[in-house]
Amino acid sequence: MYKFLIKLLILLFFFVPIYIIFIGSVHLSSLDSLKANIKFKKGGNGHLFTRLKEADTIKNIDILVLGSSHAYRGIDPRVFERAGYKLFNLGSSSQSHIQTEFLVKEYLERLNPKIVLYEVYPNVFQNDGFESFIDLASNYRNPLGLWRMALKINSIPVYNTWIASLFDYAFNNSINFNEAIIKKDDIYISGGYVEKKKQMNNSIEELNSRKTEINNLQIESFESTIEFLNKKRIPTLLIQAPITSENYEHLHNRREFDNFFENYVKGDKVENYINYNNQKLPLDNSLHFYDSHHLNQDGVEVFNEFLLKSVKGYVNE
Amino acid sequence: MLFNSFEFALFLPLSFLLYWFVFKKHLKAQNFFLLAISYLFYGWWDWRFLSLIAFSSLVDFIAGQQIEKSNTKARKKLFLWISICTNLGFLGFFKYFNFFTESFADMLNMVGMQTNPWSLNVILPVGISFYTFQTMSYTIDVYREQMKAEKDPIAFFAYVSFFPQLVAGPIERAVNLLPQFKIKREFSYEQGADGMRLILWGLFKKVVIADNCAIFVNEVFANYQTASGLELILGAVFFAFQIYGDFSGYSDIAIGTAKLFGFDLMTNFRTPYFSRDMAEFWRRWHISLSTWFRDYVYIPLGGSRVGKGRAVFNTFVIFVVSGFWHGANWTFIVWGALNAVYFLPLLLMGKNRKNTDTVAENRVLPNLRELWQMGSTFGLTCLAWVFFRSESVGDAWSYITRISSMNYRLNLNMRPSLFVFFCITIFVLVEWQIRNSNFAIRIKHLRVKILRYVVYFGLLLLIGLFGAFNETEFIYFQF
Repeated sequence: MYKFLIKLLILLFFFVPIYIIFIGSVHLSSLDSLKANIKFKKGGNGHLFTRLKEADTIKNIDILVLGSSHAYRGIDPRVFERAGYKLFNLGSSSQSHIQTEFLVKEYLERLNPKIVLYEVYPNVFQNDGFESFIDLASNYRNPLGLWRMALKINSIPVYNTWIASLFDYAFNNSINFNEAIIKKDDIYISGGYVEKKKQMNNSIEELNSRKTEINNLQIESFESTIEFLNKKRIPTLLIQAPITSENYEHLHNRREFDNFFENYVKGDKVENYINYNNQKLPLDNSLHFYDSHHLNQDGVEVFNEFLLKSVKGYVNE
Repeated sequence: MLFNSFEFALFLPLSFLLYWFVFKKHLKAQNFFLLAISYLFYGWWDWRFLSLIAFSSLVDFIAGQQIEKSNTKARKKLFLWISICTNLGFLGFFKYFNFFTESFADMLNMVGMQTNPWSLNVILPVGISFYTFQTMSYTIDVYREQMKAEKDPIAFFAYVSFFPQLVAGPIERAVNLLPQFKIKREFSYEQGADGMRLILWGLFKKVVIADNCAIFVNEVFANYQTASGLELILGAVFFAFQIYGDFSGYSDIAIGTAKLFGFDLMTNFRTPYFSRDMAEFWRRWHISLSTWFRDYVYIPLGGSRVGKGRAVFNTFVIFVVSGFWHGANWTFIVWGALNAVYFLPLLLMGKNRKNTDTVAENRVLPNLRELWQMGSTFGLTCLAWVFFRSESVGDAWSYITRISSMNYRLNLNMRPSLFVFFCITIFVLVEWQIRNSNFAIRIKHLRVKILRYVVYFGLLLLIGLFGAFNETEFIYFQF
């Protein structure tokens, strides 16, 4: 028995470093065909590299936005700037609450906002956080700090990508990396926003009726984030950004989510919860959205005017 | 709990250490511990269905004892039927209730009597087909006086619920597995090492071969109406690898895990895709199920030692029932019947036991004749797999007819990546290499020790680099 256990431990002892070095070497090489489970992608789709780089340079803002692509593609700092508010959008692609918790804890002190707008799209609650981890590990300046998150999500591609990000960090690959400001139809706007002017194609994607199943890890992180913001005495507004009405109606348990968030208001944990899908905003699918999830620039202008009115009172307090 | 999950990666070493270090001294304590962790393993999926296993075990435990005690044949038979009816009753209700009501309603509709099927939202308990067959074999064997009734309830309950093979086999016979619960188990280094090798190879088959093939297979079967002939052929071939990798991978992990606890389970697959005819294929594919049907259905029906007509009937029965065992869908029944059609010519010509040895024994490569035989058998198998995988018989038929559309471009957006072909090639080469042995990577003959470690590390790296890690359930869980 002891011989068996010792041999197994020796095997592990040698295997773990060999595995780490192998994954790191594959990542640094150009052998793309071997990277099926190494999802590292600097820059990614949502300009997170540029956004985090900018976040490292700014301080003392009025409004901090957290959330998924509904946030960083839906809330334009220029609209708020015109009203005299300094807004920074810390959203990222499929940002789940696990990543929000991490980002808030990393950046809150520096950004020192007067108010937080926390975009809470229900589907994110069923997310395992995988996609957003990949985005963060590929673009965050110091991936060492992501070990806890990797353990929480706990999958081989997540570990592989984290190892790759450590090698990337160790070899200083970020220094020479310049992310393009314009990528296809996406334009990065200072303040963390990504602008898209495109309109919806004629072919609307097929939508499936769905029920959002809650992942407990997401609830834990969501509550931890709210608690952290409460401790720091930062007023928080939960919002649901508009998606197309067809898409929204396909979500079976949308009312349950409204009740869930409203309970945070009743419990004095957040200032307010506003679901803009229930607000009858003058938005038209073909004019104001570029897909079933995201507003285009015209839609953002309409939505942000309403959002601004709701937020004003809280910032001025 | 899935074998390919992190929960199991914690569960297995913890159970292993407690089993050998804390519970080793007393056999009863060890058996009780096995029972507890087996129930925990199953309850992880849905604890409510633990009562089904417990009830099934209790009925069969009592039935076994009563059969042995009974003085009259009629009384013995009564308890045997109580056991069979209880087990088949559970299986029938949970697995086939909706199928029968829907089929009955369809039949009435066909003769012009409009009716809506009365269906229930029944959840299929994982592994019910496996453990009910396992426990039924016990009462049948006691009835046939092939074994003594078990007196120790802990050993018996642990036998029925033994976690490595509880949810997807191998379906162990009581005569093989139950006595192993009665003798003191000593850890053997060789057995432990073999177990680890089997687990490693099984994981490779599941997460690298099966789950990667599944991505392409799902795409092809979901869009078979727009897929080209070439894609449809590839889809069927990939499904053959998917189901083999998935199921034999599970069996390898199960057998390997059992070895870690000092148990030997039966071999469930012996390189079936190197079979030279369908009879050989069925001697090598899901051996624990096919031998179960042979011993408890086919032979009692008279087997092949009856008139030709009766033998043909028996063969059809065995294949159709075997198909139906897989699921409550006409696709499985057609799959079973098709295999019977493949098998019957061999039976009628007396050639069904022609290839009982291993292909190219003592040779490195097969000859052309063997290559043709293996290729054609594999082709027939793939054709039958189309029925097995399709949603309905109509879909399967349409899939097959579209193959012959002579459209061999690539239409679908998704294509199997090169690494899948690479891994399948490695897989086939290893399988070919071990076709004489009971399991893969038995590499003791590699004299240079370091080469063994290169093989282990190589497999682990392949799993890490190419494995599909969405913790996909094993296909046979649904059966």
